[in-house]
Amino acid sequence: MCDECGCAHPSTMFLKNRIRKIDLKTPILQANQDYAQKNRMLFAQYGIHVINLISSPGSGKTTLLQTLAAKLGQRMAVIVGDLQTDRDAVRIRAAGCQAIQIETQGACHLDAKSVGEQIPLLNLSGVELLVIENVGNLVCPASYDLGEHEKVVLLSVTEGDDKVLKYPSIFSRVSTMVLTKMDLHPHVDFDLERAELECRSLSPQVKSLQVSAKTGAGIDALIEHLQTRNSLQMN
Amino acid sequence: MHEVSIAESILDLIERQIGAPHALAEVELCIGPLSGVSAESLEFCFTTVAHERGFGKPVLSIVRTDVVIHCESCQETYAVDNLMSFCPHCNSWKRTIQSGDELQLVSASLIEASHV
Repeated sequence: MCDECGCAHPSTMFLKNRIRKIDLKTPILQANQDYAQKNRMLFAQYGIHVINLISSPGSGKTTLLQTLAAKLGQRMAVIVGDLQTDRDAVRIRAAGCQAIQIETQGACHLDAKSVGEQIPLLNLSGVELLVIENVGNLVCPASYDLGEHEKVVLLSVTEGDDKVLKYPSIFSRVSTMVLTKMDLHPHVDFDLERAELECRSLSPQVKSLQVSAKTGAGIDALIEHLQTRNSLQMN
Repeated sequence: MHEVSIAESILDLIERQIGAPHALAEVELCIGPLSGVSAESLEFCFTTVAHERGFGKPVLSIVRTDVVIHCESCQETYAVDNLMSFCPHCNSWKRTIQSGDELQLVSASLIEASHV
């Protein structure tokens, strides 16, 4: 049997390969974008504002969300992604708001489908802000639209002020940059102005805020910013 | 690194278009520096992933685009592959990114056997 097409001919010598080129011109992540669009429509139905919170591992995403949860309570909900364990969701729930964990089992980012599957599991009545805490990674989450209204990047002052241009795919897509661990700023050589300037060179409209989730400094200003951005009616 | 899932997405799109896995000679992509995808990593894994899914051993051809930038100081438009560069005309840092996040499947070339 011919091993090219499975016909009965004993040899491929009598077969000629023909190449047929098909034009596709499609975004590679089209399927993800379709799911993201469905999520966006669902979020609009509930009238909630959704942010996709992205940072390196260890920047303090969960600590920041604990601080926000203590202030906002049930007006905030969180979907959190990690490779393994539900530790982050447990911490955020203990701080006072709903939180659902997605264990990605090794995947380095959340995608719109996995987020969409969690939405029906949340009680979204009364929720004004949904935070999707992405897997700690400044590369892969940049490519995946989750249906959020804005991407917020968290950069801690212990990481280095030269990080922005090292990860242009994410810093060119953000509308808010939160510089965190400001309580440690006196002890490190992090040039705030440099990080802000470089971020503006990639996202000219970016709003930069400085917070310390530990001391609470700047947290009210961050909430106020989210209110303004989202027309949220929070106290 | 999420290039294996990118490779899977490419093959999903092709499979949806042609109905079933089919031997491919070549797959063409267009990738920009801001796509968040490493062309090198994708080249490394793509043929293996394609082979495992029954698409033969296609060659991956990637057109790498530049980042196109509009300088807000001198109003010139220029292309770079590296965001560390200042405007080559006036050294300004004030800029608007116009493109560079492309992540597109351009074409797939199917191998079709025909008797002669």
